[in-house]
Amino acid sequence: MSKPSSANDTTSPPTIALASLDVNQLQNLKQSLEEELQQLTQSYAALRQAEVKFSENTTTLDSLTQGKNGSPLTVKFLIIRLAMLSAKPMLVPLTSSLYVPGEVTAVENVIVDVGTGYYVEKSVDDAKAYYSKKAQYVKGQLEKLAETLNSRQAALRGEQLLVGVIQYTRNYNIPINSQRTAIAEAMQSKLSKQSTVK
Amino acid sequence: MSTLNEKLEGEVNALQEIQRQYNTAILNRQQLDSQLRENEAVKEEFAALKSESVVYKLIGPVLVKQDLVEAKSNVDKRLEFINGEIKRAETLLKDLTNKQEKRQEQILKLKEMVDAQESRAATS
Repeated sequence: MSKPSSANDTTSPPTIALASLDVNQLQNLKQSLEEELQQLTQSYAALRQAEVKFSENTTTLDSLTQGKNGSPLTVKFLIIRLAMLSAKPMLVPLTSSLYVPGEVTAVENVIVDVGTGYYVEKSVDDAKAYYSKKAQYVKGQLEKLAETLNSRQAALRGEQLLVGVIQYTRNYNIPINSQRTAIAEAMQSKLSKQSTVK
Repeated sequence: MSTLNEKLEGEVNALQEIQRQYNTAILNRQQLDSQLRENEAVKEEFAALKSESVVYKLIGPVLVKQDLVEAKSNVDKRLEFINGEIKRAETLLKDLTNKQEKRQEQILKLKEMVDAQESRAATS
């Protein structure tokens, strides 16, 4: 049986004997669980955003190569081609009020942001592979995170139930401590089956 | 008795200050971690490049062509720096945890003393 103080310790696996905690400790545990849950939810949203960004890149790259293999044209593709064909110089913003003239030339290669301010010139196919790899990675992480989220939510629910049981037995002055422990232990064994909390 | 209470209050304030520092240290540590990951990803990407690949660096609004070898060593240097910073952050965190524990012990002790004094005052 681990010490109740490990409730605040998020690094070690919290195999806490819930039945051995009193209401205050349970409340603390609940709070830390809720905080953790909130953080995980935020990470999940951020990852989702990244996934959307990567898949958007992939579809844009697709639109660059459209029309070549008889695939249908899209508006995006037409705009890019028009910009190239019209050969009118466009203005490239250096700052919000300073421009230099430029024109679209090659679309065989694109420049990919690989992070920390570095950009790499890649062929369209390579860039596509790069982004799909990234998207795949993010997707994997999302799945893992969803699992953790679920287990934490299960833990929180079980914990709330237990607080309810204890308060109930208290309010109605049910003196049988053993009964309370029995209920709690039964619930906990169910819980630990539900959630193998990492 | 009032001096004990004052002492207790002082300790509690000190503990709160340490906890604030601890929280900023944690944030700093997390930031370092994400920087480390980003740089590692870039290193990996560079490692997969052919030597004739063109690398640019964003400087202000302009992409400037970079030497691949130079870029690689630059990222390595950054990784080294970040790892050093992480080590520093870890020792800081450990230090702050120790400090917190000590303060908490001190507070418990003081509280017991205050309680004992109060019960003595009540009985006499």
